[in-house]
Amino acid sequence: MFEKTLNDLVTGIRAHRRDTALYISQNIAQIKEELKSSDLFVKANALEKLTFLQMMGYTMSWAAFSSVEVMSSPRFALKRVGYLAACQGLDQPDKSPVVLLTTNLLKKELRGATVGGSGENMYHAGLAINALSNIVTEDLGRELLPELLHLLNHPSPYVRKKALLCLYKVFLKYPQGLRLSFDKIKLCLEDAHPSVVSCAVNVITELSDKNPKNYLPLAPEFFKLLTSSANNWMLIKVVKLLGSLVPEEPRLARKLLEPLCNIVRSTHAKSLLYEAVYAITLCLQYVKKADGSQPSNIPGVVDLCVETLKGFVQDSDQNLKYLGLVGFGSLLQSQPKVLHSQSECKGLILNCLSDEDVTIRTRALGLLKFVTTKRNLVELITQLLRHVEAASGEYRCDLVEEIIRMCSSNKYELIVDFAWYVDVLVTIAGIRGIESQGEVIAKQWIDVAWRVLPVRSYAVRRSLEVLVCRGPGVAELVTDNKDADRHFLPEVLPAAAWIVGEYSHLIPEALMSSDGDDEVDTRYDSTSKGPYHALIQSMTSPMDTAGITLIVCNTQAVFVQNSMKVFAAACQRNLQNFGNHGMSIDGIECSDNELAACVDTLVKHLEVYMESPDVEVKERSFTFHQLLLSVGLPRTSTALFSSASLAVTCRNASPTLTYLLIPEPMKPISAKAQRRKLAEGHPSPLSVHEWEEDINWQAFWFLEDQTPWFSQDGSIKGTAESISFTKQQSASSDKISYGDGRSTGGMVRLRTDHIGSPLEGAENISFGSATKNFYSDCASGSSNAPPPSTRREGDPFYLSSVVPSSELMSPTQTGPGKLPLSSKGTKDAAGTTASRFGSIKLDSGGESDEGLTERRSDKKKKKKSKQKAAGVHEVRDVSSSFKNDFAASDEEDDSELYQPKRASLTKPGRAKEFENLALVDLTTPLGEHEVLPRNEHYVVPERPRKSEPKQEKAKKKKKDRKKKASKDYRPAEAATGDLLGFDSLGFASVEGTSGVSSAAIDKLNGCEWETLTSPTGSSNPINSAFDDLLGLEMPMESSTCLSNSGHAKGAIDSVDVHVRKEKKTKTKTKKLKKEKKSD
Amino acid sequence: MVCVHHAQLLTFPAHRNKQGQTRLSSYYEWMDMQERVALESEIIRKCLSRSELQCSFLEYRGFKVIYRRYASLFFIVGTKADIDVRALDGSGSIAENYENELGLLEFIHSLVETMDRWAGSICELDIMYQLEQVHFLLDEMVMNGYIVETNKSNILRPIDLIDRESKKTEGMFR
Repeated sequence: MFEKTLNDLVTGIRAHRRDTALYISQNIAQIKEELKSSDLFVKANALEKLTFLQMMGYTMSWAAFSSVEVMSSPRFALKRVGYLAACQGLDQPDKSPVVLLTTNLLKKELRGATVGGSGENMYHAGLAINALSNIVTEDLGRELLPELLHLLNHPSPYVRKKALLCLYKVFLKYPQGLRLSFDKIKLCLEDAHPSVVSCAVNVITELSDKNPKNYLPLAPEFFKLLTSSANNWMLIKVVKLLGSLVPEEPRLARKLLEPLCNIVRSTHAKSLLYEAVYAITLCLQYVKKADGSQPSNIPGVVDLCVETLKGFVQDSDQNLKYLGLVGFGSLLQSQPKVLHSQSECKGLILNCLSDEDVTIRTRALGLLKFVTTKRNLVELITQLLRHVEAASGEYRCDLVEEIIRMCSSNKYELIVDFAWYVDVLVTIAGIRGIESQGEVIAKQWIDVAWRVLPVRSYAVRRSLEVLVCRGPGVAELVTDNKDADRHFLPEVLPAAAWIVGEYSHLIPEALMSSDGDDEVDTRYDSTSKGPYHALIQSMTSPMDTAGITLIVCNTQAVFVQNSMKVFAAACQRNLQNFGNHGMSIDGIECSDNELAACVDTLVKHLEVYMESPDVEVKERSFTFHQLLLSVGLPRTSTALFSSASLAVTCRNASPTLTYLLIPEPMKPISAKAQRRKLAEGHPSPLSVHEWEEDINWQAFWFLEDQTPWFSQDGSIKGTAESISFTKQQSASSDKISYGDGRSTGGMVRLRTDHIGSPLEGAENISFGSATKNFYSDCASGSSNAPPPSTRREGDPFYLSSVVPSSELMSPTQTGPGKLPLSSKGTKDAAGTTASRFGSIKLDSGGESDEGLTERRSDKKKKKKSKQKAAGVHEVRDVSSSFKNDFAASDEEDDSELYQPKRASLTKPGRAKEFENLALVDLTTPLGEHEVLPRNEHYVVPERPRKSEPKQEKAKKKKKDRKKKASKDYRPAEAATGDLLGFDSLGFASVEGTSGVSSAAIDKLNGCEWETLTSPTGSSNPINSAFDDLLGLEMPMESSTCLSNSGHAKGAIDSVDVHVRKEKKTKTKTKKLKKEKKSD
Repeated sequence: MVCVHHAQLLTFPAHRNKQGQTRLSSYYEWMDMQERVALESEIIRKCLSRSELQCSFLEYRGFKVIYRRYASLFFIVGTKADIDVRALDGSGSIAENYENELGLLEFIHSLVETMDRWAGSICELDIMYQLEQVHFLLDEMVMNGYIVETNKSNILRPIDLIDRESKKTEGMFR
């Protein structure tokens, strides 16, 4: 039968274009058959085909054993096929048991190179070295390291350089070997043949990548190479190596500059030129002298770099352009300002942004942050925004990320006009395809809104637009061009909602500031009665713009909360107009109609939300619904009530709503104060009872009769134990239906998470210190705090903008609707009622800085006091959450805003693989116990020497036994035997040679020797079978051992070898004893 | 397409043709077969989508891919990527060795020239039909990922030797 050759296979595959897979699977079946053949030619042919298929993506690990068989063919042509198959097709070498089988084969080949001296052996060895570098494992490395090292002295450079390169791979798997053999590698640096030197440089470069410290002593030699060599390939490596040493030894940086500059000036090879410039940029980071001054030649060097790199970027060759940009990136790490004066370079980089190659664009983008200044930021960003429109895919995200990074870097140091930045953010939020950036944009938005007081109302306005524009709006009726920008990133919606809710008192102001020409369309849909109503409509609609997709639950929760805040603001608005506040603003005041519509929408939609499957949404909506009922608003339909009467009810409820819903503005605490607070440790324990005195009971006028355990002045009748749930239910169920435990929890947590989890970062900023500005009696308690105005200026939290607005800056923005409350006396009362609730400790309790905490806790408390029995443990929860808030200073928050996501990319997964190698320390001298592992015959002391022939026999018998035992391997084994020409060698020569070897070694130790195989190999029957066969070559082995590693000192050996030897000895002696008996 | 996969220097050399079929590939770092197939097809797709005007470097999945096109054959070398400039905050970069991109382009060219000298004008079929020899040639040039020899005569010497020897002794089989 004639087998298909590789050519047939290739032709066949090309002929079967339709059903390639089928054809290939047929062929694989055929190959499997052929591999069973005993003819090596057939096997080799099959392997060759398989190698081809492997390249096409078919695994061939199942043929590993066959590859080993073919590898052992004496014919070079077949052997090559076997080695190739092993290199390409072996399964992960560490896991493949077949690799062990190659140990002796490879050893034989490596040794073969040293004898005979004919050309052919050299190539055999080359093949083996190549294979070894591909399949090396730790065991293999340990076994073959001596042979490889020996080959470093081979007369032919061909073998020398191959062995040298292979060593690196061996060290990767067997790091201990590095210490033992590094001296030899160093010698290779002085090799007569330049290609060997080049390989040595290669190996050391790679090694120094793992642990540069080890190779610092070699720096002078490399320096010599750098200045003397003319081989560009090697110079590139040398330059690289020296570059990697620089961080370890900064003094080297200054020394290197001169020769590197010489190379830059003289070389014609672009690759070397680039390499040298890149190395200079690395060095520049370390040239600072100990006293902080720069060497005098630095400006010249920098100029040279800039010129060269500029040449690269200007080049029409895209490759050079790319490298130029990479080089600039490295240069700017040390000289960030260098481009500010080079307007030409700036232009070049900007041009690269419009390059059609995305690789180049991405690189240029990375450089942009170095060319931005306060002056050109606006222009640059405008340009970038245009690029965003045109870009696609990941690059679009990169662009947006870069825009935000440029703007927000260093606490917005480049931004002059924050209103402009808000506009930019809104624009970005409307772009499709950058979902991954949504969170960052949302954070920025909120950050700007609360840290930059002057643009706060503007931010409210833009947020309002965003929210209202979501609706079907009038646009749908009119069908103008507004449809285009209706899309907003889902992540920014909660941010917008939060801003509108938190600063809802600014809504009128925000609307007023629109100057006629770009009037905000405040209609959510055709039924909207006014801005407040539109907002509430927008935020309580459970569907998105088109009414198709549901808004995510987190957003819903934030929406519900903030729609209530807006509603509270609307009620308050009317109250102001009714009162003597005077500021009547046309078109913005909240009319009775609008208020009624708000109530209607709220009640209707909250009921929908109450059915939500999401706990958070359900809880919040339920709570608010109950709140609305409890202040006297109708349960379901508002149709029965006139809008006027509804409005009156709302206005009456305004104090309550304001008190509950409109928060104190969050205020920063200076980092110092926070640290002081933390240093103080736990504050003294407070009891729940203390807060009751601070509660504004007037806000809860409607509760008077229904809460029998409170007296009118707010003190509690009776104790917590006397409060009963059943009683509470029956008492309040007619007006406030606290039907179940869930509502209780809801009320308690009313103000805790006023914003959903997407905005967690927002909560990290601490607040509360400034509260005392508004409550002077509280402030008097802590005299060390500076007056409010100076605090504001000195506080790094607030950022200023060009729009001066003293009115806004004034601390009176809390709004007149606020009801004063006092935290005075909380301390005095400490302890008096502590017994009542055991020891409830509030970590956040404190005097001045936690003003808001107290206030918030007050609210908790208030509700708690209504259902006190339920909530004792809740207090603890609240306190711990506040503790977290206080732990984070705003500085930290800033720095965490933009951790580059790419950081993980710089450490690729394979770094772990090199860990061991990096741990090797070459700086300490070798200890006595550190010697190369050697293959030795082991000693069987109690046996007389004359039994040697028997031993051979015994081996033979053992082999036979094993053959019987393992049927699976049988054919393979037989074949191996053939390959090695076992028969032709004959027994006479075997005995003769082993006799010689043992006689020779006997002189040293006076003992008998046997072959020692690879440690793990002893468990493998096949392998030991190989041992027997391959052991025949022993005389050569022992001679190399002797010459190579000083056999005379054989008494000293590494511990593990000893152990192995002992084990082996034991088993051997047992077997031998058996043999004796049978004899 | 030729794909040199080279852990340190070349992560994979692969020749690929215009349809994106691999004609020769050699990896110097072990990689799972599925991952390998996926990687190859992704990379060739990216390469094919690029025009002559674009630069020969790609950054993909932590690899730096350097490719060069000769007629319908792509020669692709993958190597580990250098550090992303944007990931550094200037606090001190680690000097990490990566290969010189231009050097690798040179290497590809030298590989092609060597192949040309060996087989006249190299074409796809030459590579496919004499896969084993091409691998041998590549192994002479690159050893476990490092360029070990760039001199054409040195590279071809053993191959010539082998050819001569095999003609002499075993005409029947080869």
